[in-house]
Amino acid sequence: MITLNNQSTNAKRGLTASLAGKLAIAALLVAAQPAFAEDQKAVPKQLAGVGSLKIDNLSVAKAPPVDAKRFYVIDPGHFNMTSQTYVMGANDNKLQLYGLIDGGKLPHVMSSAKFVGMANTTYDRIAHGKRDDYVRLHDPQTLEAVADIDIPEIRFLTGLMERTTSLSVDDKHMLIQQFSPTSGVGLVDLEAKKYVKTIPVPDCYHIFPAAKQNFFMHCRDGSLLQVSYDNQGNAKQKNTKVFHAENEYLHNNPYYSNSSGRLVWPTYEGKIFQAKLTDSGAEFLKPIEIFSDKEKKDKWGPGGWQPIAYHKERNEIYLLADQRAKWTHKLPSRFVVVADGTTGKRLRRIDLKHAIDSIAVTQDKNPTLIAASIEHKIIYTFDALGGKQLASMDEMGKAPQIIVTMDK
Amino acid sequence: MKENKRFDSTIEKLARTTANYTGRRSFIGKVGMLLAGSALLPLLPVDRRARLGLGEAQAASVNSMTRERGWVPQDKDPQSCDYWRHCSIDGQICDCNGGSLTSCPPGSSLSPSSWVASCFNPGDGQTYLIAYRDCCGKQTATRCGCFNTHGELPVYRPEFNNDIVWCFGAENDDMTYHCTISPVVGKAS
Repeated sequence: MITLNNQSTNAKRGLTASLAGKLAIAALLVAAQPAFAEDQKAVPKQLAGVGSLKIDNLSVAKAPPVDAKRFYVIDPGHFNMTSQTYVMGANDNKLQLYGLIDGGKLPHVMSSAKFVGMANTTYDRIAHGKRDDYVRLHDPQTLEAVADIDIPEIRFLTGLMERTTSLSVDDKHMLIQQFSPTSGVGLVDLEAKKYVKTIPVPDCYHIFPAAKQNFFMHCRDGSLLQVSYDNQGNAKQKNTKVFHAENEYLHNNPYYSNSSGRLVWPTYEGKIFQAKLTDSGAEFLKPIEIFSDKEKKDKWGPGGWQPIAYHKERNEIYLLADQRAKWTHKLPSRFVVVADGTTGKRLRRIDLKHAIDSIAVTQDKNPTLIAASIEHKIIYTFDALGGKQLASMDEMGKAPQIIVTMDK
Repeated sequence: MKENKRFDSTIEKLARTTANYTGRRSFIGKVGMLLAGSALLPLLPVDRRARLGLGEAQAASVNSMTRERGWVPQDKDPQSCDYWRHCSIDGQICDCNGGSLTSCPPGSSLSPSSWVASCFNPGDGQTYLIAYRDCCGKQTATRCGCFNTHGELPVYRPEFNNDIVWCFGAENDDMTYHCTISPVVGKAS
């Protein structure tokens, strides 16, 4: 009974407390009513400002229109299953990061004023299962995909090589190298948004497009293969002369301009082979020895992953170089030597003061030299004429490896 | 003269066609066949010594490959990038990731295709042919990443190139790179 009495007392106390609480809530609501009634259209007045700030308007950002300072840095993450492409700018002597584009394994990224082209490979079970190759075009400002084109599983998967996939010079086609089971070049019609066919080619590599639906490839024997194709992928092929010796090993990432047809290609030792490629054929220029005999004796040589750039209007070759032991042709370098593209005359040497793997140059009148350090994951920019470092940006993924600039 | 030109042209065309269509494919085919039969492995049809002068193959030390020093191999620690068999590895050593010098880690697929290099063993002063094999079908392993390029040739000489994902023919067509093993397949002399 005592217990019951106590329970009864506690129940009464609970009822009293509950009643008092409800009355308090009702009083608060009544008091607050005028404030809500005052402006019920938008945000409550007492929330319309935080200190001196106004309420934020939320949006999704848009990159500025493409200009000559736009560039892309591709980070494949050391053969990772997914990759990231940094969409960047080098305006006002600074570095801008406009956004990122996702990619699959070892993607190819191609720049155009109209879109960012990407060729991708993914698997449906992380790193195995069904393989899927596809092409995507992204709007260069919103970075959203504006086309998604399925292609056969043909992509040649290597450490990133800029020119094993390419846009045609009119941006109407994408050309994708196939290595296995046979050599070929996949033709993708970007306007019709469809894969056309894979054109069989001999043992040749890289794709250098020329006008009127032509492209060139470099063949094992040291010649170039010229391929002319129609919209159905029917092709005619012919070889040029052999332009370099078997023991003159060419770096994997040459410079090539779709708009000018200029090919600039260094050997492991620093000899520069050049050609102008048109639908009429290949005009080979006189090779340049970019290092003097004394420099060669002092072990100067090119080295890096993307070791060469070229400024079209200034006709200047930029070669990533350092003093180095033999067979270190892909290890980073600390200098860029600049030479005239016709005579080979040394114009200047830029001390980067960092170990750099890849370089590129913007094509405007005040060119920016862009440099990537894979190990340190940093992008640097330099005044390409004066050599002064302008800006840097760190935390650039796992392995920023290739820089793609605007060609036109 | 006209006939001679035609003859020259025909021979040139024949030579180019032969060079372009018989190089890599037949080589890879032969390598695959030879690797399948281990008894025949030392007979790989490649001139391995041509690219490496004896002088440059003699150095012996225990330091990693650097721009200044180049390749200086050691024969004590197979999990180190400067172990002599790894002279042309661009990737992860399987021995550090659950495999060994000659076996892939569990769950990965052994690729039947390979690229080759001539590596100098400072332990016995001999140069050996290494046919690197990629282990495939998993994400890139994380330990012991090496970037050695001793004797490594451009992509248009694929049998000596270490940038290619050499997973052709792996089980289930797993064209994804996990790590690399460094088996000896013969003496390079």
